Amino acid sequence: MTTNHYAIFALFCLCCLFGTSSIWAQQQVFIDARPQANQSVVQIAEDVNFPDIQVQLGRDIPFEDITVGITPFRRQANIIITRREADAGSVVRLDLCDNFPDLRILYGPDVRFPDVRIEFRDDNRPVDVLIYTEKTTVSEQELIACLLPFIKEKKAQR
Amino acid sequence: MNRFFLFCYALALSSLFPYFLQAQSTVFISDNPRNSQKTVKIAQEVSFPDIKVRLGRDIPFEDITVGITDRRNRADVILTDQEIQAERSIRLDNEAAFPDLRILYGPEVSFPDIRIEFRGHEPLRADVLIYTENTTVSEQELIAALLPYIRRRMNTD
Repeated sequence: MTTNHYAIFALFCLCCLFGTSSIWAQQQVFIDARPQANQSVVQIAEDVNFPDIQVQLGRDIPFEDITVGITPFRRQANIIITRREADAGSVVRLDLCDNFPDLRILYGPDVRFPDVRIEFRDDNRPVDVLIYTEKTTVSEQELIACLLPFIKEKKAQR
Repeated sequence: MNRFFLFCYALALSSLFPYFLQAQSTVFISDNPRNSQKTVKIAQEVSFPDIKVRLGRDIPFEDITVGITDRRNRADVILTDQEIQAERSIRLDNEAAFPDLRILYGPEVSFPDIRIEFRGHEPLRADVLIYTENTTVSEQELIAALLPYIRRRMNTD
């Protein structure tokens, strides 16, 4: 093999490596806003009694733990909110009626003593996590639901 | 002669300026606003809905097209986070037992009264552009912001 062949082979390997890593980096999440009975649910609201986790979410958050944005391009996204449960790697069931949730998350821009600080960016600055949705818009509850593994990890560290 | 043209140009601009101002409306949406008299329920499961809205990305024969913008000056509707700045306040409460208005929405609603096509962020063309002072816009907030357009469209049909 000539030097050129080696160079092409190395380039090919690099492409494969980056290709697979970018595939691994994408997670598909299904957010179920209409859970059935006997399913574990998460309550994410701006008004929660005895919250398990407190999240500060806003545009300009000082000392943010994570920055998040929304992308219109599927291939750019780290997390994809899918419309079909069968496609999803993980499922989050939201309790919208204040029943007896398994996890209560309080969020808002002015939450005091937050466990996690999330900054939302939509001004082309780089972010840690990009979200793409197969639906129309992403609500704040859906945004927090997508970031649940990170939020739980951060809470456990504290 | 140049002064005359400048004068005409200034006159044309000043006559257009109020239209630009009138085009933006500021809305406050909350589950507990101070000034709102009526409660609206917007959900994907509603019994006896007053209005049925089909909302999705590719909607054939759409009545209204809508997009989200990051630039406040481009927006037709601004979702504000302070009620005092808002022209309209909407009480969006999906737990209300007896709401004043029930709206059923979804991408596959059959026999819809209104079809709304969502064209994403910064679309090239859309009838209504929404800007939010909060972080993101939920589907319920999007429909609540479009209520005057929905009413106008239903009255013309």
